[in-house]
Amino acid sequence: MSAGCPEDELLAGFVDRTLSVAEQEQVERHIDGCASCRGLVAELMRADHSEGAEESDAGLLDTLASPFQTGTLLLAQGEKVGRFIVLDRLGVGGMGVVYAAHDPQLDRKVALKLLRADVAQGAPGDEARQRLLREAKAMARLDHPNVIGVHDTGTFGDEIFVAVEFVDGVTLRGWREQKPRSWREVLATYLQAGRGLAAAHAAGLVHRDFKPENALIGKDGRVRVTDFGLVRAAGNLWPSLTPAPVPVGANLPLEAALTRANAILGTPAYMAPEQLEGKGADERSDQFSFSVSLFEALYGTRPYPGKTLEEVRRQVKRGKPAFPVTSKVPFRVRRVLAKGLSPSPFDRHSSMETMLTELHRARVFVARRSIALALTGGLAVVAAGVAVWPRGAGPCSGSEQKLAGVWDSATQGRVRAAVLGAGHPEAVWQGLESQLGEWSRNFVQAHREACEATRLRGEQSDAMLDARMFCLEGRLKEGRALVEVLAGGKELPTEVGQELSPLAACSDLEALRLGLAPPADVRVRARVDELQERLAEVKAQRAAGAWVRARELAARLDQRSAEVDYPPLRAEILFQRGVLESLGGDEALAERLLEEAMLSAESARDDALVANAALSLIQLVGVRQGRLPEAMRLARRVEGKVNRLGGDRELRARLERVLGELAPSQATAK
Amino acid sequence: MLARALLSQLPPASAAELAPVSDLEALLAGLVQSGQQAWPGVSLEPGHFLRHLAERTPAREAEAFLRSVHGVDLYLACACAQGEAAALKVFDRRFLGRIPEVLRKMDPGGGLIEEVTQRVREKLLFQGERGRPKIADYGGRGPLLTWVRAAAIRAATDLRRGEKDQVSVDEVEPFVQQLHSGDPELEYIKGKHREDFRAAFDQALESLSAQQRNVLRLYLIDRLNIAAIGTLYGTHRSTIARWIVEARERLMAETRRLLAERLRLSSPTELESLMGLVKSQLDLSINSFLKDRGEP
Repeated sequence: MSAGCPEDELLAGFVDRTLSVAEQEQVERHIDGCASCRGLVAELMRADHSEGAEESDAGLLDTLASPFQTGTLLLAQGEKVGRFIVLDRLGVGGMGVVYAAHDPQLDRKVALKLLRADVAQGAPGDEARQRLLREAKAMARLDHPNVIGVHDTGTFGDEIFVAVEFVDGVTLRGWREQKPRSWREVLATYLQAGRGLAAAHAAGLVHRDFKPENALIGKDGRVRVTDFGLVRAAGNLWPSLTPAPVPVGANLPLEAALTRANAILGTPAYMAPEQLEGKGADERSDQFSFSVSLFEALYGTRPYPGKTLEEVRRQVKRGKPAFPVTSKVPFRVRRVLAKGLSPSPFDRHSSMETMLTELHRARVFVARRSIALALTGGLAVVAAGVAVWPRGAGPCSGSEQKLAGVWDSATQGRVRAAVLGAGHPEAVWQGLESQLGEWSRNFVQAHREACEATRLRGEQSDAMLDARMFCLEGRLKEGRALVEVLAGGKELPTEVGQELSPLAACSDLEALRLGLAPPADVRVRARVDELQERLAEVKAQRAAGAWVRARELAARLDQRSAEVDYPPLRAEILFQRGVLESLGGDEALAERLLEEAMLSAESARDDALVANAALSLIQLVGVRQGRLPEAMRLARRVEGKVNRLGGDRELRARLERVLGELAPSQATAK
Repeated sequence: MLARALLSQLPPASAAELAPVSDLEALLAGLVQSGQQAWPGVSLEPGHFLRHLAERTPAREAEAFLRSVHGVDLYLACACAQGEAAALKVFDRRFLGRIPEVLRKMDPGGGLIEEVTQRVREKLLFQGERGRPKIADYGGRGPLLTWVRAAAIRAATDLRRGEKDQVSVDEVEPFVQQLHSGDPELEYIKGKHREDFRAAFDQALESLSAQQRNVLRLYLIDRLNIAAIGTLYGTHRSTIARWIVEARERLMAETRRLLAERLRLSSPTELESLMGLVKSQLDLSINSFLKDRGEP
């Protein structure tokens, strides 16, 4: 003991925790600089404690900071990853670290995930990295409003980075805990998440770790599923952890502040039994996880409660989800859930898509019944729990009929026959069916919503109803034309959903009011109606890749529409023709057409179309012809426009793609 | 009686604090009695004990001290300081007799045990520099056993080090050494920037709080398990685990940041290649460096 060291009694008091705060700090400061006193403290503690806990210590630190243990980089503020500049660390997960970062190219915030390929994929080296990259790239191509937008992916040292959309919002878990939610609200929100999953499945991706923490809901109310397919080895991590009690089940309040380690341990509660057994996951496993999450959100408990993994496993095997005795959630929803929670994948719904349809029906069924009750003053006859409100009797119940001849069983049969007849595998048909099925459902929903806003709730004018219906009619024409092309069977578009104009635009009251209202003149309107049909055909041919034919049709349409005084349609036609000419046609003509399209779109106040036409123009003059200064000037303008539009995700994605294409030519130009 | 005897020995401030305590007499009687009962063969004048107690009563919060003091242990220590034979025997058996058990983990061979026990006995029970045995320094604020163990461990460490005081510890050199042999390019750069490296690591270490550094070292160097560190800081194991993780992460990130800052002066390509190499190895290196470092 040297002169400056505290009395032994002080050190002993430090160990026995009998010191005042001031004395404690004094010792703390001293042992910070004095290895021998610190050693003394350590020895005193060691004598008091049994040994042998070191192994589980390593495990504990592992769960808290596997990135550390596995050597995942920790980045400081200001470091560059790809083109992104690290701002702040958002969190540490089992597979990597998430940072907030700045994207200087588009001047926006992104969430940047850094993943250790070998950890996430359970395989070493390059192969794992390639696989993870492929998946991330597949995700980036997956452009769906309910899937988190991937801006960029790449490698950084030994790691993979994925830059995703920065969502200002909370996880679905957080959302559920914010305040009480009605079952309708919960269901509507989870339907969105389910659509995200279904979209991924359609693209051949499996999530593998769906849970309330892996879906974000933004302040705009839109749900985005995150962390797709990145956690391949989750199943492999489990065997070593199985003895640890897993805090799941109703006896633990969900709000309980779980430590991060516990939160990670909690994950298997959402896993399908086949995953827990290490048999690998497919879409049906996601369906199971989705069902557990939805169950928990609806009822506040887990369907298969248990304190340990073993207990949960046993419960799942019995396959009897613990539905609460009383609940406001309708029985139909419960039935759909029970099926999704089946222990055997074969007993679940045939696809996520099917399950969502069923859930949607259950929701609509109840909604219709309650509307019926409201309208008839509660006198509707209810027998044995089945509403007998006749189908089609409500003022807005005709929405489904709109699809007759567009996407009904007859057209479905024709398309299927054509697809299979052309030698495509069944899966191709299934992909089409699911995409068009989703489009139809969205259409019906939008149609009914537009109707109800006027007819039932009286919150919108007849004129607005007309504008919305006019817009929807236009969409319907597109759908019909596309289905006809499909039934023709010669060409197949790959991503049908993307070829159809967004339905959401027909609910954008502001845009409709500003310039996209139908023409007032009846004769003009009749002309527009007819030209819209032609335009839909052009788009469908283009979607199918029949460019030459589409180009011919567009040229004819352009001439015929020249004298019709309705800028929104004129702009759209010019745009379509411009794009088609730029695809292997006359580039000078394309340039002129696109410029005209921009002008027409401006006068129609269709900002999205202005931006789209501008982006096509940038691709043409910038990327193809290398006229960079012009392209950059235009790009700056279009960026402003897209920023103002804010919510249009598709447009953002496109802007980014175009800028990305521009970047290399910029570099070579220097 | 007892109360008056105590108060008369105290400085005015603590006497004034204690005077109004209504059960003071009973409190003191309890301390004396439990001492007598715990050590039946030991004879000690209550007056002696009270003087001993008064000397150790702090000026402030005297009442709290009296209510929490380890009276039984203090009673024995007082008797030992008086040189009471029965007390010395009890102390030898009940306290010094536990030293082997304390040292077993430090010194598995057991060669030190006898030597240490003898040293502690001499140091605690025989006359020291101030003319009284060291056991008189025991103030009753924690268990006597902990205090004795502290003395034993101190003695054992001193013995092993040959009575060296506070070895200055170079925490950085082994780290620099370790980063990472075998790679010629890195070896070159490492040689060139060794000083920068040391400075960055040192400075990064400075950016942690004393507590963070201590927890980190207790775990990585002293190899205490996390539960023990938790007991030491009166908090849960998982909290300590989080502290450790955060401290390590911070240390790594800071070292890298500082290094980048320092090297900004050198050529950009060199900085880039150094950072590239460092990036992939620094975190692992710090970890194993702190981990593998044995006793200094």
